[in-house]
Amino acid sequence: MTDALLAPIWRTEPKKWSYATASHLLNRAGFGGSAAEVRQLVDLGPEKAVAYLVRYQQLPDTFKEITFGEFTGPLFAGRDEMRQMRPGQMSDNMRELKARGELLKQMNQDQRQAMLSIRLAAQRGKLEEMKLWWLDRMVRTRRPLEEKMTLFWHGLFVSSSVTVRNSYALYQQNKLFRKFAVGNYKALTLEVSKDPAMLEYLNNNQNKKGKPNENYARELMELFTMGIGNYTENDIKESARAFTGWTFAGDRFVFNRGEHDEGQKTFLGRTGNWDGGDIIDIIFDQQATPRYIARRLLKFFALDGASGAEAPESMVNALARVVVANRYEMAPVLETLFASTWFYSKDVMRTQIKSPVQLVVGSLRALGVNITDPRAVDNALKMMGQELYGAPTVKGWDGGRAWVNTSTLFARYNLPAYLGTGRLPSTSKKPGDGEMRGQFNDLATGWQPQLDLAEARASTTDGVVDHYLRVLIGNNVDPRKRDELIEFLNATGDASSHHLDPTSAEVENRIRSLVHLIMAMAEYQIC
Amino acid sequence: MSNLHTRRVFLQSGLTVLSAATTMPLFLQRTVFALNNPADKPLTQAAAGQGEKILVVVQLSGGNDGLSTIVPLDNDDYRKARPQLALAKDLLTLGKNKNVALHPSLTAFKDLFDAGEFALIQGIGYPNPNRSHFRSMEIWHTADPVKPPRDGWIGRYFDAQCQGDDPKNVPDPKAAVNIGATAPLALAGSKFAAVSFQRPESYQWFAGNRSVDKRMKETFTDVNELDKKQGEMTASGNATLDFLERTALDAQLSSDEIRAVTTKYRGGVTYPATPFGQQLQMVAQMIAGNLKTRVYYVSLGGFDTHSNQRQQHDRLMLTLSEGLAAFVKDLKAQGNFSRTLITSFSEFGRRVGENNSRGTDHGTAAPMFVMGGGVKPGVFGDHPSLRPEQLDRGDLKFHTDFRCVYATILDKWLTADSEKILGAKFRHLAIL
Repeated sequence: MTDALLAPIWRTEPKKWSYATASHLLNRAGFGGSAAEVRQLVDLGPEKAVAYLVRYQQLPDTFKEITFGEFTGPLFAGRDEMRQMRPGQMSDNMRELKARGELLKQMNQDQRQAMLSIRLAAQRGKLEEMKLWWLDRMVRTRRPLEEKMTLFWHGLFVSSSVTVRNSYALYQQNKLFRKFAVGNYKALTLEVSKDPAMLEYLNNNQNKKGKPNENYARELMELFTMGIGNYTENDIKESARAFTGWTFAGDRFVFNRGEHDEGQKTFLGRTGNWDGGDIIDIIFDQQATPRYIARRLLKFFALDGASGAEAPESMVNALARVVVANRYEMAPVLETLFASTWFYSKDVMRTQIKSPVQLVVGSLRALGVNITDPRAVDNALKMMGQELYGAPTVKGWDGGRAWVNTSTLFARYNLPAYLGTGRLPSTSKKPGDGEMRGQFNDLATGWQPQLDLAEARASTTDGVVDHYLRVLIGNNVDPRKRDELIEFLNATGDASSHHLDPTSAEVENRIRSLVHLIMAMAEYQIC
Repeated sequence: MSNLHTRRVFLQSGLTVLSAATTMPLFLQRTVFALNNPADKPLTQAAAGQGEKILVVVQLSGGNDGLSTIVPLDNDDYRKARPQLALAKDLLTLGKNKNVALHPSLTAFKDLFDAGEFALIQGIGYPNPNRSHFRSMEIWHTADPVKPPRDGWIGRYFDAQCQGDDPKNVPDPKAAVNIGATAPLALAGSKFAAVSFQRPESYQWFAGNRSVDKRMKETFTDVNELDKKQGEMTASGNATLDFLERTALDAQLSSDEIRAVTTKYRGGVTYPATPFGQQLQMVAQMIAGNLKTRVYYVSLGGFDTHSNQRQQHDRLMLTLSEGLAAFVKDLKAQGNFSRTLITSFSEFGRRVGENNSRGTDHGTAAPMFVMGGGVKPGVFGDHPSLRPEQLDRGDLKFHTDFRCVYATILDKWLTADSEKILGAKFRHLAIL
């Protein structure tokens, strides 16, 4: 039984299914894709297309795991590295720890400093590898919703590499989010409460009987489950007591009974000798919780507020009822949302500002290319305000209009210089050059416009412009702007159709610049 | 395309050559002429004037521990509440004040105090203090502890300079400049949007393809309609698109000018190599370049010291002090210190009693600082009592609403109408 507000589009508007709606679904439930991928969804029809994206377990996961082999040996044994041990490694690590103690005794100050630098560099290197590994998954996955929801949880249950200087713990957390991508929100919340990266990020490893640390308890309610206004300061104090003794050793959760407060706690009106699990049970009995997750999902997938409108309260309530009916299972909730007539309405389509990750991954997917310079992409994401494993605060990324200011907009319009033309603006100053000038490092992206155009059978300037407008923006462009682009591609000062030879180096050069220009339009920033 | 030629002249030559601007939209004409000719006063907004008074806001993000910044002297309650964290050694005295002293690293504050250019305001807060970072930060940014966030107090100040709904009366976005990736709510008005950037050299659009560079730039201008008037940008029927196009226009207009002034000025002052020091250096360059900016916004983060506070907080105090010392020295050398007011705030102070992790949890009242050539120096207000029975659930009680500081700055420094901007009348402090 479905709320009328969430009636599926195949019942209400069966004829609406088109390239535009399928493209909208792929953008929102994933990171967009090539024209061929969109057409595949068009052919499936709305009901099967939604199921294909949400019930993705039937498709194989072909990605390799990251190994942490280099984090061994006496140099790496120690407090930080204890946390990276896998089960069964304890004894090896204890031996290494001992060896390191011996090593340290023999070292002078300079040698110790050098050792520290090596360890830090290894952590940083690993973090870069993890970012690329995840971005590569997003670009090449056949299960885009799995990665999109992993990103959703990453922005909801925030832990940052700035505080958690333990790449292995963050990697484990990322895998947890992926495991529960469309799984159970309540079960995930319990897992997150026991996750070493989170325990460290919000200091619950220091939350002890008699002197509670409230950090985790507060954010659990304010940002992870209910939202502000649904509990009191006293509820924070009481629930912090319930989470005392929840800590970790190595890379595993440990319940430290000696540091746990066994006293009575009154939380949201209920009194008992609660522990963290009881607190989560009580939180997930509150009416605020399904509404909170419904609101967050609607913001992330449907209306981010950039158009000035947020999801109406009626829709929040309707989706919250679906959440309750499915006991916090996310797959049926997402399936209902993606199927709904409202999701394909004018109020929702093309109103969102792409997140930086969406912009980068979507661009790579649309052009069918892989990342060839991870550092360039990482820097670009940083400048656009979304560094993976690096949310600015525990609140995550605000999204919507907050993605865009004069600074991030230039970064967004500059990125395609790398993606489209293979040239990366660098801001180093030439010696003796008074004015800062953009220079360009030549990089290959592997993108071959000739192949695109052969496949699209585009051999005229207007045909090429239309092809890329369709793939990148979905033909939602003012005809006057289309004329400007044709004029640019013609290089003759007019906007009429000309035959063109994409095998000529000069023409290819112009096509690359054309794609950069399309990607540097306001229309490309939204989806 | 009637005004294509004009657009191209405009873009190729930056903001300096514009004799052929007869077909230019009014909004651009006004901006460009005002920039071109500083003496052209009628075209220069009061809210964005060159040579006018400047406000520099320093945000300390995460909740700065007031009790480790302005340290109570000879106070048993302080020592009892902070067995591990109480500071006692090498504190810097504030004149003859017997009650409080500065953290040992805050030599910049000490020097300014001794020079009569520093006001310390104690016990700042607001009713029903909120201990959430985000909500409390919003309250400071919006100057509204009750209503949900809408726009910022500085944004409203610029909004108030607009006459009616005429979009050409919206102040130049450069009137407020934020150094950082995300624009703070404080600077957001319902009409006004500030300029934000991290580094001037990357604050521009790169055409990226040498052989067609010039034509790309022309097409970039055309397809992004960087020649439209602010008020004419509703044609798309898509509010998100309109917002993006407006921002692109702001970006384009401010880019050339900011890059020009920040590369031109090289003062003799060496700044610390911290990101905070670099932010302040950029602000000093822009002030030296005589931009029309009235408000600059910089941030220093990392104050959320729930554990092992001492080392982190010491480092932050040093970063703050070293950055400000260089900035003040630079502004004095420029001769711009007397027209600059620097103020710093944090979303809240921290719990009086330390926690079990050698850190402190979220608290309430804290001190504020105001510095500059125009400041009436001194220590304003008493330090809130640390007696356990005087605390509010373990936190300090405020006695001065932060909006009194805002009102004083708005009325006396920015010569605005604080009642209109803050929605109520707040008493003035004797800091200006």
